[in-house]
Amino acid sequence: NNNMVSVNIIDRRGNFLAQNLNVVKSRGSSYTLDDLRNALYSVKKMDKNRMFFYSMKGGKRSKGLRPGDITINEGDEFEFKKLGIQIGYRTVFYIEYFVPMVAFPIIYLLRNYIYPGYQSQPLTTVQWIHFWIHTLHFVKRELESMFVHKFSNGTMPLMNVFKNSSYYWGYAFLCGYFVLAPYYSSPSLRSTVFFAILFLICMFCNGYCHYILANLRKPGDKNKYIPRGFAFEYVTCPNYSFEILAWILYFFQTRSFMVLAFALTGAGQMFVWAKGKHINLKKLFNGENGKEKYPRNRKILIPFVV
Amino acid sequence: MSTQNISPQSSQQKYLHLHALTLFTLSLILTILIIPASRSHSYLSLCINLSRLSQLIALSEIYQAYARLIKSSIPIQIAQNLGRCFVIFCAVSQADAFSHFRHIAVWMLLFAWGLGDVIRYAFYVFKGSKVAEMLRFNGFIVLYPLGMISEVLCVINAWWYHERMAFWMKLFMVIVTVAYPTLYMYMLKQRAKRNKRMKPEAR
Repeated sequence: NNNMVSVNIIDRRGNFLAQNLNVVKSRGSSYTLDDLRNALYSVKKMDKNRMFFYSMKGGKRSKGLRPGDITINEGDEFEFKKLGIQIGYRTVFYIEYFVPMVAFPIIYLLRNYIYPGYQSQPLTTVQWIHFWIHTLHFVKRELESMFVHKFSNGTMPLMNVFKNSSYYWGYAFLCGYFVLAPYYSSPSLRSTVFFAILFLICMFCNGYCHYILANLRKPGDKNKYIPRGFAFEYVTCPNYSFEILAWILYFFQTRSFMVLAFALTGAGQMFVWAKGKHINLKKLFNGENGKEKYPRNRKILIPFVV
Repeated sequence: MSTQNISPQSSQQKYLHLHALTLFTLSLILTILIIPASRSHSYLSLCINLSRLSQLIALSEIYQAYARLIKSSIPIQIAQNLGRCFVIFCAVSQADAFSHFRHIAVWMLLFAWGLGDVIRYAFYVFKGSKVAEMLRFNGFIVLYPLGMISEVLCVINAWWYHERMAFWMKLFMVIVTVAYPTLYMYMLKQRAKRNKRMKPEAR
């Protein structure tokens, strides 16, 4: 039967979890990680999102299997690992972006308590611009999480929520503390408006990149494709490029070095992700066996540079 | 480090040679004038102007990197040239010549830059000269830290005295905290590579 193979699943100690397990191909072209999960689920009822498999080579553990198409041959062995408690990507995004969205309003409302010794001073026009730019950015992120983003990996470890949230929440409050302070030294209104407009342009471009990525494949299709059009012709991850640029512009807008710290921390992480994605796409689209070749001149984050 | 081939065979190479010769000459004049400038405000003002002229001419190295006339990366060339322009145009003012502390900081800066550029451009103008090569790969060990310290002193001075420039001076300090050690280590590695290459010849 071309649509079914028989495999063995073992645990870390080498004990069989399932022998001669039938894996059925759910769609025509090749087997997927979901096929393997469904097969194991039929004999072991557990959360499929916590199922992780390693392929075996010469009796030893090899690569971990990623979502999407995988190669399964008759008689193959896979090592099973049960992952820790998982949480959905979308849920994590809702949690980590919600607090930054309300951080500046909270600081504004509690200014008299946060900055004791200062008489109640209204925010300056420049501070209001910083306030709304920051808040609108995270409103946009929440809306994207609800309506735009599609995730190839359904879940991530629960601990990531605490790690990611502490980063976003911590910096949101720290940036808000300095930017909305009564003793904040405002730059000129002209320069603030100039950088705010550029920030909004970058935010729009970042959103458009997310839209392109969300529409890269049809519902249920787990294959990878080369993103095309707009800034994708120049860099692999223009969404990250625009995000980093936006926060650097926000730094010049606010002239707060806490914002610079936030921008640089985010830039470092995004560079690591972008580099990984760039390498994976180049390996996948190597031009062999009829596959497309990944465009040679496409850089990782900065066009023509890196 | 960028390299230039100075045998003037093509118009591009003639241009590079002329560029190196011009900057060598200006740097040499600056280095000579800096000696009396230690005690004279007017000489120091003249040296500041000469240094500004040199840095403006040196901006063409960004074009040279873009046009691949020299083996230097564009972002590094931009950072080096614009960084120096920022210091000499924004952090150093003519008024600095008339305050004792600022006078010392600016004097050290111009001395380090002047002598460093004489050594650097002499290497390109007198390619093949062992002395020029030896100075090129060793002079930076002392001159680079001296230049770094003087730039920092000039920037801190501008930070204290010019309220409007405070933000840009702070940003400069943040950038050079990473940039200076990285560049110094890179230059030490280049020197080590060159010394390793020279060893069999010496034997």
